[in-house]
This record gives sequence, C-alpha cells and structure tokens, in this order.
Amino acid sequence: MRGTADDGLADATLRAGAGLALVDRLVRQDTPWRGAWLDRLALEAAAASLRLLRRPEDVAGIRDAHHLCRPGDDPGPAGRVYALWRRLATGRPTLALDHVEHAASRCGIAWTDDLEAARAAAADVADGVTPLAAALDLVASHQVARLDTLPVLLWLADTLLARRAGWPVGMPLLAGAAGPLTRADATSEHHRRALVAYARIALGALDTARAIADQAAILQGVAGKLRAKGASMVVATLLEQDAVGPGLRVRTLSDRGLRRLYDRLLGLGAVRELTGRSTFRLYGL
Amino acid sequence: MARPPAPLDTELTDLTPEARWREWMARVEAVIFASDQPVPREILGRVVGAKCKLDLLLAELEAELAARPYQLARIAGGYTLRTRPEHRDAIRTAFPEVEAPALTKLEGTVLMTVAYYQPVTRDQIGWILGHRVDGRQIDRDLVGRLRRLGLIANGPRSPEPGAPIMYVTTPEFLKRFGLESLDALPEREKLEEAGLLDKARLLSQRLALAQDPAANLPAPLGHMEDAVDPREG
Repeated sequence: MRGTADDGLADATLRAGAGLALVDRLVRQDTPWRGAWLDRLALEAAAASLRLLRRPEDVAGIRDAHHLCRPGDDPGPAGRVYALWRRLATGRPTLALDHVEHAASRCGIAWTDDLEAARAAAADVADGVTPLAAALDLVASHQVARLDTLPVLLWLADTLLARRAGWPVGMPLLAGAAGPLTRADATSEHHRRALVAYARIALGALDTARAIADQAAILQGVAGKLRAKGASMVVATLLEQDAVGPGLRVRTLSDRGLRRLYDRLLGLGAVRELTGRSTFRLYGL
Repeated sequence: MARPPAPLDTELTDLTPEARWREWMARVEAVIFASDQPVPREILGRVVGAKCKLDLLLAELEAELAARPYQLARIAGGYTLRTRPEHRDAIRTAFPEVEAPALTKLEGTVLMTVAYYQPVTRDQIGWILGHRVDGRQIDRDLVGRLRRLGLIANGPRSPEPGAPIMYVTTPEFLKRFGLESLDALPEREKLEEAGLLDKARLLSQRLALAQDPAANLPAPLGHMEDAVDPREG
C-alpha cells in the first residue's frame, strides 16, 4: 500500500505522530479490555511474522495451534511465534539480554550477533531521541542474515518503542509494517514510507480497539445476567485474551456447562465465534 | 562436582588484542570439542569477553578447520564438530558394528512429510502421500517410533472428530539433519512455488472422496509404492 504521491515527509511525520499519540493514550489507560486488544495485536503480529518466514499458517491456524494444544505438548512453529509476541503484549518491556534471549530461544530461535548488536543498540539509545524515531531507526539500520531472526528484530524495535514511551506493556505493531521498515536505505523517501506505514498500523490498531471496546461493553452489560458458576472468570478471561475455547479450565464448570455458557454469550451477542466451525469453536470479543 | 571452578578471566585485558582473540577462539573450540551435544551460543558466550564478536570468531574458526577432516557445524541453534561427509565410508569401514538407527524409506518419507506440512495428523500424512487411496494407513507404530527417536513430538490437536494429535518436528530433528531452522529445509522455496506445500489443496481430494466414495482419485503426490517398507502392513 502506498500513500498518495504528494505525501511529503512532513505530512507523514505528522500522521505517524498522531497515530502514536492516539495509541499511547489508549495503552496507558488501564481499560478492562486492554488485555484482549493487545493479545489480538499479538496474534496479528504473529501472522505477519509467519508471512515473513513464508509459512502457511494464518490467524485461524495460529489460534488453533495455541488453543488446541494441551499443556506439555509443542504448539509448533505458529504457536511458538505467537508466544513470542504474547510475551511482548503481557509483560513490562525489557531489553535485558537474558530476558530477550530466553524469549527467543523459547520460540526456537538462536540468538545471533545480528540480534545482539540490535539489542545492544536499543539498550543504549541516547536520551533525546523520540520513541518512534528510535524504533524505526533500529529496524532500518540493522540487518539480519538469517530470515528466522527477522521477527525478533521487529519485536526488539516494538520493545524499544514501548520502553521509550514509558508504556506498562509492549504493543505488537511493527511486524505489520515489516516491508517498508526493513528496506534499509537512509533516504528521506524510505523514512517517509516507514512513517506512513507506522501511521497505517497505528490507526488499524485503533480500529481493532474500537471494535473490542464495543464488544466488551456488551459483554460487561450482560455479565450480571449470567447465572452459571464461574461465569465471572470466563468474562474476565474474555477481556484479557484474544479468544477462549474448550481448553479453558474453570473449576466450577463442567465441559458441558462451559459450552452452554459460550452458547449463551453468543446468543446475547456478547462474544463472536471465531472459527466458523460447528465443533472446536473459539470465542472472543 | 567436587569444587566449583575458579572464576574464569573472560576479558583477558592483559593480553594484546591479537593474543586475546586467539585465546577466545581456542576456548570456544575446546568447549565445542568437549561437548557431545551442539553447544548453544549463550554457553559459548560464557568463556569469552562481553565485547567478543562471537559470530565472527566462529566464522574464523570454521575457516581455520578447512584443511581438517572435520568441520564446524551449526545445527539446531548450536555448534558442534563433525566429520566431513566424504569420510563416511572410511568411518563405516572402521566401525562396521556401529549402526545409526537408520530410518526405513517409509519412515524417512513420513518424517519429511511432518517437517514440510507440520502440524499434521497421521491421517493427513497418509492422504498427502496417497496411502489412504490404496486403503492403507500410516501405521501408528511408525509414528510412535519417530516419536521415540525424538524426531517428532505431539503438537496441537486437529479440530476434527476425535481431536487427533497433529505432529511437529523437534529440535532433535534439526540437529540430526544438520538444519539451522525450518526455513533451511531443502528446496522449500521450489516446492512452495510449485504449490506442493499447499496442505489445504492436497487434502481437498480427501473431502471429494468423502462425498463420493466411488471416485477413484489419484494420490496428490503420486503413489509411494517404492517408499513402502516391506515390513509395513
């Protein structure tokens, strides 16, 4: 996707800045549905990463890998990449070597000099540099020799942006703009395209937030009507995660009870069914 | 583990840069040599200085071993020393009694199917290889053996009746086949361009057959008769 031809650098900067300011406000607010929103962004970042790695799994495939995997089993390539991005979206952003190296190795990616150079650069960005400039520059100025480490570079840049912006959690955004971000020539045209791409993904994240907020409002509105024991825990999990499925463990609910609760929520319009299947269904905001 | 080792001087500030580099390289080689498992980077990082460019050092070590009958290999995210393939016959002649747990042709074919199409169920493997068309299934025991060898593992369940397990390859698989990561699988790009990695398309014939059991459909990847081990079914 391209901006219009007369999109100047100044205009692109303004748009990216506006996008960043809007997501900044939202991610700092401790809205009840922030977890679900960020997890949805993590899912999209995982899908973008798998496209970079030329793997076939899409959003639906990633959800299945994650939700239909029993504890102790291996979620496979798609589930592991999703786990990397979920880590960013659920924890305080940190660039400490042992933390990021551990996160990458959990996803089957060995740490390389390329990644270490990027991490070290990210860890000592000078104080005056703005968060967005620092993150975009990190991606533009570091190249990775191994394809499977490219999502980790983007993940480091998202972590850097979150740290510089002082966010309580990371926001998986940059993987969605990997193309314009990684073309590493230092021209103003490259810079303009990277900024336009950032503005686009930030606005996309806001659309996602709006849809989730509307759905969350309906869910919270009907929460009082649910009589099933354990319903409050299911509601809380829906606000915290992209999706829930048959694997959700609720002590006070049988599998059948859980299914009936999902059906009830679906009937009330409080959740959406995400797979289009009649069995092994997954539900989310 | 009688006594903990004295803390190792990794920075070696008293040496000239050149001598320091030699010492680091020697240490890294010694650590890799001493281990019977591929050594991950973070472990190699423990014996060199914080500023040491490990990838550069390993590349130089690799170049230095060019004249030796063994080489530095990067597998499953770690480093190991192994003999060069051209000495295979000599080594087999020297140790005729040692035999690697060889895979049968069919086991190898199934393993590669898991590698390229993962996560994938036993039934799907059969369909991709065309076995089901002949009324034969991929044997539970065959998959079990690949699991016992640590080459594949249980992955997510497939969203279909019975929730069959889908299989995925393990780090041990990458190690045994000398692969750095899954995108290093041979000819992956070519297979992809030819549309042969499109699992949904390969399995669409299964659906067609379910609707019309009388239809005599060709196997997606051709019949694999020559790959069938006589000991199987």
